[in-house]
Amino acid sequence: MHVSLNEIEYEVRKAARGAGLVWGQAEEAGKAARWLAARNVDALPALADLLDAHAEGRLGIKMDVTGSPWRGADGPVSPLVAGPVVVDHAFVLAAHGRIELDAMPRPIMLAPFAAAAARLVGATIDLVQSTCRTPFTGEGASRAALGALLPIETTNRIWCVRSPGHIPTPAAHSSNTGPNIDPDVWNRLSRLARRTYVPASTLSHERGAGAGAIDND
Amino acid sequence: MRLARMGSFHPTRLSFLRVLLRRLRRDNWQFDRPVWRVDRRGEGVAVYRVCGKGRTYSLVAFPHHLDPAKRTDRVIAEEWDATFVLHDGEVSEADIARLAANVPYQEAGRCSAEEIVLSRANKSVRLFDYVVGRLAAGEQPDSAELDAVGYLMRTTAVYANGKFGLADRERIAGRIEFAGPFAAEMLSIWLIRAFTVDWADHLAAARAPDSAVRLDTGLRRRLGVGNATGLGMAPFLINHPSLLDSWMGARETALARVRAIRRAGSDRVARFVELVAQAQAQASQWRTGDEVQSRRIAGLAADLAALRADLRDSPFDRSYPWDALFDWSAAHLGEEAQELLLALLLEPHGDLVDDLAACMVSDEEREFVIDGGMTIGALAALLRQHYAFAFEIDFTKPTAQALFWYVSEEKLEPRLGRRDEEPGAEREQPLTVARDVVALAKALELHHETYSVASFLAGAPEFRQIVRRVQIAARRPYAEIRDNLIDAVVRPIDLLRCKLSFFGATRFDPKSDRWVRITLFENAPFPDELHARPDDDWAFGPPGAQAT
Repeated sequence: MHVSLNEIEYEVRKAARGAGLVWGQAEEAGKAARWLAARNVDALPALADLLDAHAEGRLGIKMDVTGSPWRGADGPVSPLVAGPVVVDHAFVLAAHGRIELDAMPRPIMLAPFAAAAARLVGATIDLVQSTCRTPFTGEGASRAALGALLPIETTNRIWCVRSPGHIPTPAAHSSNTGPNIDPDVWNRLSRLARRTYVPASTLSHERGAGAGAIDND
Repeated sequence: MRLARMGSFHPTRLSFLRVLLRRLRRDNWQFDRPVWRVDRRGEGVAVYRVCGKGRTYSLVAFPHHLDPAKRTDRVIAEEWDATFVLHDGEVSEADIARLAANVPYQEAGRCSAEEIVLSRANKSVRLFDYVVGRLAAGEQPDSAELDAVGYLMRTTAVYANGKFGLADRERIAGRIEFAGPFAAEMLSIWLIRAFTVDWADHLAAARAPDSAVRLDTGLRRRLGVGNATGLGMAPFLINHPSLLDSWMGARETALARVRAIRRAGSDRVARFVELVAQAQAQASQWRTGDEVQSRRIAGLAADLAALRADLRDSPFDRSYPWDALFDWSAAHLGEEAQELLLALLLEPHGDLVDDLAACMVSDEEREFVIDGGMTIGALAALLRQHYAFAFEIDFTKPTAQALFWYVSEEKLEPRLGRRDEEPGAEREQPLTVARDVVALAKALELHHETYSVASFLAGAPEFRQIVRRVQIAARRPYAEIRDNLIDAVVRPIDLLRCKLSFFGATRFDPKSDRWVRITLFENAPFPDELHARPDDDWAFGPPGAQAT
């Protein structure tokens, strides 16, 4: 099915909130999903897995950044939580050049945040795992690199490293149409999103929306 | 940035529909209607085409035969008098067939990424049949009847920006014709306006082919497109703080430029005096059933009379005359008149202020980033400096949190509930800015002032959203509305009126404190006369109009 980038952003935002992330994190998750979809990277299945894990309490939403690696404070680390925390700490990357993160699932969801950090730091930021290294500039990463990152289900320690390395050609931001989405994946997100809605009641009908009894003339 | 003043805003020459028409005229856009396949019952399809800058857009209109019992403005409606879509490019017959299968179902259908705007409109039952009847009888409708309503049809939703599969903003953002906010929506509504008149003409001719006449071009200009808006639009200004700041900043800068004029040219003065008379006439046509607004309009009428008297006495040959007038209004006129005066001050000064329209945009993605390196101490100082209004609120009083915003499962639209009476407050939408600020201030006290915001948020992510807001507000003076949005006395129509004034809406007519009717494009030229008419001077009514 075809959905717009806007629909992706807002559905993911609601689904993330429904899964238990706070509103600020949910907004960031929505924008991260949009960033990937705009580059034709279908990360929604990975995202749905993450959000199901959050909803079931298998991932936390707080981080302990006092030691190294940074770990989850109330549960295992999620990239939806770690990503924004890394961007918040762009000044650490600028000053010290590296941030070490604990093991986490679905590292593809770090990609938009690595790009944001690269833009803030004004340098290439590499996401370094034991098996691969993905360079990011503020524009993003190459199509091949994102493609290699996408299928990784979990990673051990992962580093964000400021790198003097070459600037790869970033995957083009597609402005034409949103990607093709698996309806089952969309349904998983919608189920979580529904948790943010309030069901109708007679009282809400009378009071809530707007038009009164006579809206027709 | 208080709701009461925002709820008194009037449209100015920087409003989006004015900006659009100036651009279409200046860039020599051309208009035609390549398709009109409407039967005697009024059903069928029409295509309105606009061409310019090497591009074409097609507004496809589907008029329907609607059972009057099913006509409703509410979002829960399932059928409408007419449905519309703005297609990016020429429409083929295959496109029309595809759109015919989806557009009439609105939210229940799907658009493709080649559609930009989706909308629907219902007839003004009061006016539409009256006009068709008169035209069928070979006569023009009475202008007073037209003025009493102001539109033949009103839109009840105008969707864009990727909703229901429509094109994302990215698709059109680089196009100069859509550079301004809501330009595609305004273009669609302007074309819909042309349709409303064509449809009335058509139905009159269908009813009485031998005697029917078409609506006089002078009379038709008095008609805009109505719009019924409820809470769906209300959260927008809160959810887009940097954009709101850009809009307000452009307005305030325009005002400052006019106030800074040392000597007023006589032609500007003459135009201004004429505009005040026109505004007075327009205000005398402003009707509403709402008591609060009726009182404000009465106050406005009295204030405009006082203003005209003052203009007779006060010379314009002093220094900084516009500034003096503005100061006088702040001391002598109510908010409605003050805000109308602001619009009137800008109106003769297009060459000085029109360029500010280009500033009414914001790169919200750039603004979205949190400055994690800021210290807790600095953040706390920002709270004290920019959110004093929040700390003055007594949240222990039940009225301070009487309301909660939520999204309905039924139609996925924003609603406002009473916390003590209705279920759902645990799913409250994050429009609780003042309360969040107070909670943030308290949480910050637990940490040393040199602690970084980044470290703080890692352990307290629930404050991410409010911290982001506070940092935006610190660098953007008009980003934050300085009122408690969940207080018992909140009037959502203040939010609606403010946003609608930026659209260019007139005839603000509240139906409740959360639902309003307005009119767009009243007095504007139609596509077939855009290039023939003189410049952008139509907004306050035909020249020579007198107050009744």
